[in-house]
Order: sequence, then structure tokens, then C-alpha cells
Amino acid sequence: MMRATLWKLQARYSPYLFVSPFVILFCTFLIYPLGRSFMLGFYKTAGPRNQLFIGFDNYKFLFQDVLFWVAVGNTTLYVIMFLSIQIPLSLGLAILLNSTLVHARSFFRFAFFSTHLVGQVFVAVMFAQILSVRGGLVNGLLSLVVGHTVQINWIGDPYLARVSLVIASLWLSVGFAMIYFLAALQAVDQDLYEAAEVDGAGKWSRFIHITIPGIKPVLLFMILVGIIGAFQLFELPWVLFQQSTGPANAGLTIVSYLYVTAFQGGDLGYASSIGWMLVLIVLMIVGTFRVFGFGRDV
Amino acid sequence: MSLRVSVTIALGEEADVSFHLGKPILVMIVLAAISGLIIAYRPAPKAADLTVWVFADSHARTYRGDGTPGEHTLVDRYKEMTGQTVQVKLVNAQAINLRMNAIFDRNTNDGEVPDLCEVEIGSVGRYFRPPLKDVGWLPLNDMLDKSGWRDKIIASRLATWSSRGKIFGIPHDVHPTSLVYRADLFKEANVDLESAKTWPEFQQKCLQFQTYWREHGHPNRRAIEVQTASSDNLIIMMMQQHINPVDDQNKVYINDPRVAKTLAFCVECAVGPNAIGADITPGPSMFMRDLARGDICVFFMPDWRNGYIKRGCPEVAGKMRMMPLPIFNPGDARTASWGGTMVGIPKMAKDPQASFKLAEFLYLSKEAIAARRKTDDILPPVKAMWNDPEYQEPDPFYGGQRVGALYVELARELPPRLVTPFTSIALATLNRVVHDAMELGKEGHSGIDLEQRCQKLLDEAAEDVHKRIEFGKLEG
Repeated sequence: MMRATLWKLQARYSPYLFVSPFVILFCTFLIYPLGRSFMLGFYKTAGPRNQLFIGFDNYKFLFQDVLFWVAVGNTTLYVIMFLSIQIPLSLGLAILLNSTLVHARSFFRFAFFSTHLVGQVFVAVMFAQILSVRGGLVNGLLSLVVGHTVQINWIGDPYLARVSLVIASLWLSVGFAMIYFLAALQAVDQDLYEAAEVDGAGKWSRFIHITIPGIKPVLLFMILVGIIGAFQLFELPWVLFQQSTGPANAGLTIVSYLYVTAFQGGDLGYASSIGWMLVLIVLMIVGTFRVFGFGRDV
Repeated sequence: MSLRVSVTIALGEEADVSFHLGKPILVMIVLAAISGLIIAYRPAPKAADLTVWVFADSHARTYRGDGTPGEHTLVDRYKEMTGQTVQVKLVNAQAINLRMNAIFDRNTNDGEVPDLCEVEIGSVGRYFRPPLKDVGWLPLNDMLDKSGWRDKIIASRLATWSSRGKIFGIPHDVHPTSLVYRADLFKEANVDLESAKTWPEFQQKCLQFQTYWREHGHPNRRAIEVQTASSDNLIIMMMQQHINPVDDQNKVYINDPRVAKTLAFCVECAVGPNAIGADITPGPSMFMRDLARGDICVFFMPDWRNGYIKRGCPEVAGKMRMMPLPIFNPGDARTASWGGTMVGIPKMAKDPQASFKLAEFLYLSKEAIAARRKTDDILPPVKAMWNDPEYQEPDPFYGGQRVGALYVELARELPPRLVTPFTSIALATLNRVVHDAMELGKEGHSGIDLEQRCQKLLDEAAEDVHKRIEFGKLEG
């Protein structure tokens, strides 16, 4: 009888036992650090053992911190440049590779997507070589085209460094976004196109009135995910600019400023406040999306 | 034969109760339990008596050898001398910082604490931020005094690893910086670079050099490496004039009028009609390609970089020459340090005396310095060792020039380089200022006008750094 009771208890509570490793790990490595970093944002720290409560002073200082605003400016500029090219380019590729006129579509789909498999660090190392000022592939090709030696300092010049960063990011992510758009395009009802064609709608008209509404949820999802991902940019510029913030801080993003503050400057409190400001910025953008009704389909 | 796991457990005669989550889950639990037991009871690898963390591959090779069979390494020698085994772990520099931070946070020795740990100069300032009593590294003043090393080690290098009067590390190196140049190309252009004793004279020589090569089919050949968006060159020139960006009292000197003058000079070396340089190709060791191709022909050369070009650029062997840095004013040093490493003892190391003894052997013994010379040309911080005849030997890479002797000569006049928790902030700020100043040069500003504008940029930057220091200070 006793044994049967034990087995019943086992049957009832074992699910909780089995999910407990996840819950414990989730709380230990996500909930606790989140709470701890939120609290740290109100302290001045020098290493984890020396803490001085300063209330909102870290946040107040952020507003007058030139480097923080340089980081915000760089990141915002990157987000705008990146998304305004990535979305149309990946959508265009998806439309192209969805067309029956293109041969070897599977090969091209894989080829474009494969860049995403290699990861940001690899791409950064590769682009550092390709964009090298002397002996780099890009300058080499440009030299061939114009007929004399071209030495554009793609990575060393602060303005071009930002462009280089966007180019490397696009190379990495256009194929990935293309796959999403491809799936969305294939889900659009073909009957609508046929009906529109019968009604005399042109290609552009069909694109605007059928394709775009058909893929709108995916389009908005990609924009939103792209914004969030772009605001968290770190590894690519960090490796591309040789573990630094780039020429004249052109590669300083919000996350790299957080990293430098926490792990090079040793100020975990101020770094935490930078992290929470990033959260706030992303939430504001997502909120704006919702307010204007863009995200309801996502 | 199919795998059949009996999951039906007989409970007397009352009932058969099966494992209700199914066979796969049961199999996974059994496998996990077996794996766990194997891992828990596997024989632990025998720990060495002492552990050293290093971040540079060349340092690791010096201490533990490169794996050649029969090699008698420093670690072997130390075991023979003391009976203690030593494990040298090569750890990424950033990982060292993260781990040491965690170790100092825990403040206990749970077996993960190294007995010795190397720290790179760019990272050390952060460790000096807490109040003195809470700095995680052991102050070495007493040990260095008792052992007599304090007087034997060059004082300007001990200063680098000190904070508020306490020495927290033994210097690995001195890193005097010289200039090296493609002697073959300068000779062909009939320019005697070494006769230039001041930076303005040097600029004139380089202009002659570029003019010659422009007329001889190399319009893009530049004389010297100049950084247009980084402050490394500027810092070297500041150090030559005995100006540290931030001193140990947290006073900011980046807006000293001499810095404005130097910055304006750097701008005129990079842009405008008197430009003599260009940025090197970014990337690890990519500058060697610039050197080999003769795209850039003069380089700042701390002793650590010297080893790189000898290994990575053999095609220029015999074509190179080395010279001291030109100066701006009488009284300036003809060198400054660039880079550096210390070895420190964590406060919670299990036996600090044993750690110090090992540090003495690996960093300061003749045996270790001799082993180091096999892998690189880094000058040791012990002054007496500079009299070693090896430093007087001609170097074939430099056409027989005695570059060891030159480095020794320069090391004797090395200005102290101070590192504070706020030095990295000052350097990051200067990077931005250098770029902004270069933009002024591109806009056509020059001479006194440029100098005044540079001063304005530096004043603003100094104010920003000062504000950060005040905000970041934990102590009054």
C-alpha cells in the first residue's frame, strides 16, 4: 500500500522535478543577474566588492556622457543604414529566387543563406582582410577599374569604418532575412495574383497591393528583430576594429561601451546603467511600433 | 537484437506500475546517472604545485618550451631547483581580466586562483580603482626590498605597476621605443635620416625622401607610420616630453600647451603639403606587409615589435637601420615606452612567498632572461643584465648595427609611464581628439592657427576627462 502511494506521489511530482533544472538555471543565470544588474545601476562600483549607493547618479551622468552619446549616435546610424539596405535587398533577392525564371534556385538560396552560418567573428576577420588599405581585395579591384593604385582606408577612416561595418553586416545577414521573405512569399495566395492580372494590374501594382500586404507580418517582424539585433551590435565591430572601439570611436556601439566600461574600466555599476538604458531605448522603439499600429500583426 | 528495457516494476502481487513518463525518458535518466558517476569518480589530473597564467604565447613558450622532445625548459629547471612543479597556462588577456575580477570578488582561494598572473599594461589601471586595501594584487614592496630587487629593477618601470606608493607587479620588460627604417630605400634617395635630431628636422628629411620616390615612380610611398585616428604615436611623443596623460594624483595633463604643439605637428605630418606619413594597414602584424613592400618605410619600434618584424618580415633582413626617436626640445628623452607586462601575486594565492620565488626565477633570473632571448628581443628590467655582452653584438637584420646596445642606451633615459584607473579614459578621449585635429588639418588649418584649435580641442577633452575622474572616484 505504502509503495503504491509513493508511486502516485512520483507520478504527480516528477514533472516538477524534471522542469526544476531549467527553472533553477533560468533563475540563476537570467532572473538573478537581471535583478542584480538593475540594482547595480544605482551603485558606483570599483570591482564587484566596492560599492557605493548613489541613487540615480549613474543615469544622470549618462545624459552628459559624450562617449555614451557617441555610442548611441553610432548605433542609431548603423541601425538606419543597415535596415534601409538589408530589408529591400533581402526582399528583392527573395522575389528573384522565388521566380520560376531563375535556374538552380535551391543552390542560390543556399549560397545566399550560407553566409549566415559562419558567424560574426569569422566575417569580421575576413572583411578586415578584404577591406585592407593596401593589398585588400576591394582596393585591388578598384585599382584595376580606375587604372591606378587606390588606397582607400576602409577600416582606418572613421567615416568609411562605419560604411565597412554596414557592408560586413549586410553580407552576413541578407541571406538570413531572404529566407524569411521567401517563406512569406510562398504563403501568398497565387489566386490573388491571377485575379489581379486578369483585372489588368501591372507588376508594380501587384507588388504593392498583393505582395506587400501578404508578407506584411513577416516584413514587420524582420524590421523589429533587425532593430533589436542591430542595437545589440558588439562582436562584429569589436573584432573588425581589432578589439577596440575603432578609429576615433567610430566603432563604439552601446554594447561595446558597456563592455569597455564594465570589463576594461571595472565600473559594473555604470555599465549596468548603460545596459538598462539600452533596454529602455529598445522598448521605446518597440512601443512606438505598437502605438502606430505597425506591430499588431507581428 | 532490439534493445528492450523492462520498465515494468512488480510491486508484490498488488499491481504492476510502469514508469509513467515512458521508456525514452527512463533511458535518458539511466544514461545521465551513469555519465554523472563516471565523471564524478574519474581520476583527477594531478595539480601542479604552482600555476602561472600568461596571456602571450611567446611568454608561455619561454617558460614551458615549445614541446620539442628532450627540451629542458625553465619549468623543468625550477623543479630541479626547488622540487616544485609549475603549470604555465596560456589564457586570453581579456579572459584573464574577467577571471581575476571574479577571483578578487570571491576573495577566497577555492583552488582556481593562480599563484602568479601576468597583466598587460592596458588592463592594469582598472585593478587600481578600489581603495588601496581592496586592490586584489599583493603589494610587493617588502618582498622587493628584502630581496634587493627594488634597486636592481629600473625605477621608471616599477612606477608603471604602482599605485599610491604600493608596487603591485614585477615588470617583465622595459619596452624602449626607437625608429626603424628601410635603410636601402633612404640610401637610394640619398637621405641621411639619422642626422635628424629633432622632429621638425626629421619631417624635412622625410619630405626629401618622398619627393625622390615620387619622381622615381612611387607616388604612394610614405615615409613614416602616422596614426590619424588613434593616439599611440601622440602618447609616445608626450612621454618623450615627460608628460603622462594622467598622473598618480589624477591630475590631467592632456591639455598641456606642449601637447597641443605636438598634436599640431602630428596633424601636419599626416595631412597637408608637409605630410610625411600614412596609417599602417590595420590588422594584426599587417604593418609588416607595408614595410616589406616599402609602402611605409619608418616605424616606431618598441623591442617587442622588433621580434615580430624579424620573424614575419625576413625579406628586409640586412636592409634595416634603427635610430633613437628625434626630440622636440632639449631635455626630452629620445625614447618612450610602448606596451608592457607585469606579473602579480593575487592576495589570496596559497603561498605568496613561493609565488614570489617563482616570479624571481621566471622574470629576473639570468637563466630566464637567456631563455627569453631565444624567443624575442625584449630587454629585461634588471639594469645589471644590460651589461651582458650579448647586447653589444652586431645584428645582421640591421646590417650589423648593434641594436641591443642602442635599446640599452635608450632604456637608461626612459621616462616613467604612469598608469591609473583613468588612463584608459584619457587615451580613449585622445583618440577622438586626434581624429578631430586631423579633420582640422584636412580643412586647411596649419601653423599657429592649427595649434590654437588643437589647444581648444584638448581643453574640452581635458574637461571631459576631469569630469569622468571626479564621477568615477570612489575615494575622496
